[in-house]
Amino acid sequence: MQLLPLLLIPLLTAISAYFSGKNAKYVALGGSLLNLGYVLFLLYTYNTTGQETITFSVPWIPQLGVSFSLMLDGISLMLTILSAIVMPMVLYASFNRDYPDRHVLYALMMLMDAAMAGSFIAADGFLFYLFWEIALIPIYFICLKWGGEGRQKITLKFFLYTMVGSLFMLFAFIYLYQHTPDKTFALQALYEAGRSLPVQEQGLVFAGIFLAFAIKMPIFPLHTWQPETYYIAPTPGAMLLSGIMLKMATYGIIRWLIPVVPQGVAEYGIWAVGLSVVSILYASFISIVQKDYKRLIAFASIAHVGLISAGLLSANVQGIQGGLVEMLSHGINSVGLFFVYDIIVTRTGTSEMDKLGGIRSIDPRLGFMFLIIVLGVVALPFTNGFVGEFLLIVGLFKYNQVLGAFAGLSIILGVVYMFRSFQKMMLGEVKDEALNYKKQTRQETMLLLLVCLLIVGFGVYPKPILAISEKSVVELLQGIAQ
Amino acid sequence: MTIPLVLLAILSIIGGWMGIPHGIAHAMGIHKSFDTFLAPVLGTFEMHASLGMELAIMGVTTLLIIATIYYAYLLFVKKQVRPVRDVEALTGPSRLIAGRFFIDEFYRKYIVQANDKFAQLLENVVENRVVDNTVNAIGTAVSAISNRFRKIQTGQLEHYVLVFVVAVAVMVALLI
Repeated sequence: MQLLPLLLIPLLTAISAYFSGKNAKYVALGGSLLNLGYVLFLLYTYNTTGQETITFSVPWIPQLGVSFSLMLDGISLMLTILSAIVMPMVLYASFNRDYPDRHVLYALMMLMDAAMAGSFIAADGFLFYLFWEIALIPIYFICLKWGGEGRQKITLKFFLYTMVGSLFMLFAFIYLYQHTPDKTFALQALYEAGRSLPVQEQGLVFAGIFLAFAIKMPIFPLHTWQPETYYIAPTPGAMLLSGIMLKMATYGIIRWLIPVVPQGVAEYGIWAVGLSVVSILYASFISIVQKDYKRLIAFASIAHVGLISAGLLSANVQGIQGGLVEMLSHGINSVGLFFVYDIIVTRTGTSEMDKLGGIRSIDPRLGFMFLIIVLGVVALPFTNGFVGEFLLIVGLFKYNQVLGAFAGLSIILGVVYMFRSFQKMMLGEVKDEALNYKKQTRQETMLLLLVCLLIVGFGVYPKPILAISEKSVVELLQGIAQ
Repeated sequence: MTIPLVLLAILSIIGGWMGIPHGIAHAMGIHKSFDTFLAPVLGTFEMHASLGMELAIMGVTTLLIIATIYYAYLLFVKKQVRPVRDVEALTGPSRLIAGRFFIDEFYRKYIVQANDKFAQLLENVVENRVVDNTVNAIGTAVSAISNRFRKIQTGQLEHYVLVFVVAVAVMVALLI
């Protein structure tokens, strides 16, 4: 029962927000803060009672072997914390714009939050698939209704892409289901069914599930929906997509891929890791030549997620721990980057970096905070990005030294594209577009300050974060080794 | 600027002792102070040249420095030569030195510009032409196929009956 509030709080908030008219944003923010409080309570319980896994299960469709099973261990808790921290930030960030039909927008955002939370704690393959799909519907409508130019075509592309990937995952789950003795979608039963398969069949299941995750993250060459979708999405939508939603796929690698077909991952994983490393380098190079700041963030995200994917698939403690920490960092940093975009665009009407310049001289506070976010993104020591990326590269290096070395280049290339964007927009002479630039509001300062504090806080003292998932990760890997 | 320079001067004196030739350090009885300073972290390494080799390297280096100082004295103090501002006007080693070995130019041309050109190539060719066109081609192909199949629905009853009869005939043939 302890886990149900994780779904019910956002779900009830979504319904309340829908009927709250102009106050919808306050209702949504209140609900997300309540959810954050509850997650912190769970974290406290987790740390103090030593209870390693919280479960909840009731039969749902017994004829199909589907149960409403939820599970929270250290790994799920990390993602639940990410979602609980990022959600209020996304909602608060949206306060600086007046969106039409805001009650619908906030209801959809909270509905998406509930679905994403569900995917992080689902312990039944069917249920995971269900939450995975449900999360897609609100963001589709958010992009379609509040998105920018060309949204119909782009959102359809995004929807189709993700649906095709999901279909392969469903095939893989059904295949595993058929191999369970009791014909069930229960997590442990799928683990046992997957592990009992011959290596080649594990490889096929691996390919099916990884394809769904590779599209969602996304990984080269399945990424083409992402820069366009981020570009047209309203800022809260882009924050949700980048900050939380793509983590459903990276989390899926840990929960629904590696332990399901460990031999398949060991045998064929090198292809997926190789593709992830290509994705890192490809997206980093493309980021360098982007002229638009929002498209740059989109490609930078592909590069970072490629590193997470490669590290996770290394299937060692450092890789998975690094991946989890990096998911948290990436979520926070994405909110920061997109919020800076929103601040600049609402004042200048453009995100073309060549048209911007000298903003730091008008608003030094924004310049300073943006610099901290940039440093977090480029993984400077004592920032949150460093902890995750360092562990990921160590994990990847242990797996394959050549791939590890190439992946390490992402840090250098990251410095190139992020610092260039900072220089172009913040430094130099004030360009025409920035002439009437107004300084930050208190709301904007507060949110950016929070982002900066989290970046530095997690960077300086990452131990409590690493401790949350360490035990679960070790157990997961021990389970595979047996 | 004085304080940073003072600090750097002090550090350079300390830093110099780190690379003190092994033979001299032994003679002075201070070799353990520096040799084993990082041993707890890096372990111990016994690798050094012979005393003669160390003295020879020191001697040659010192002579080169003295010769350079003397040459600079002749050039700038005795002959009162002033450095040429325009690097292009110089030739040979003077040009190389005046241009700071052209490291910045090399870096700009072969690292920065090459990097930018490669990135632009990826954007223009791989991203925009290969990947985007492939994805769009799949979408176009699906549209084209559905456009063809759409025409099966003619709305004429005779066609549907014909398809129905043919389908039944095929099924019967397969079953027999």
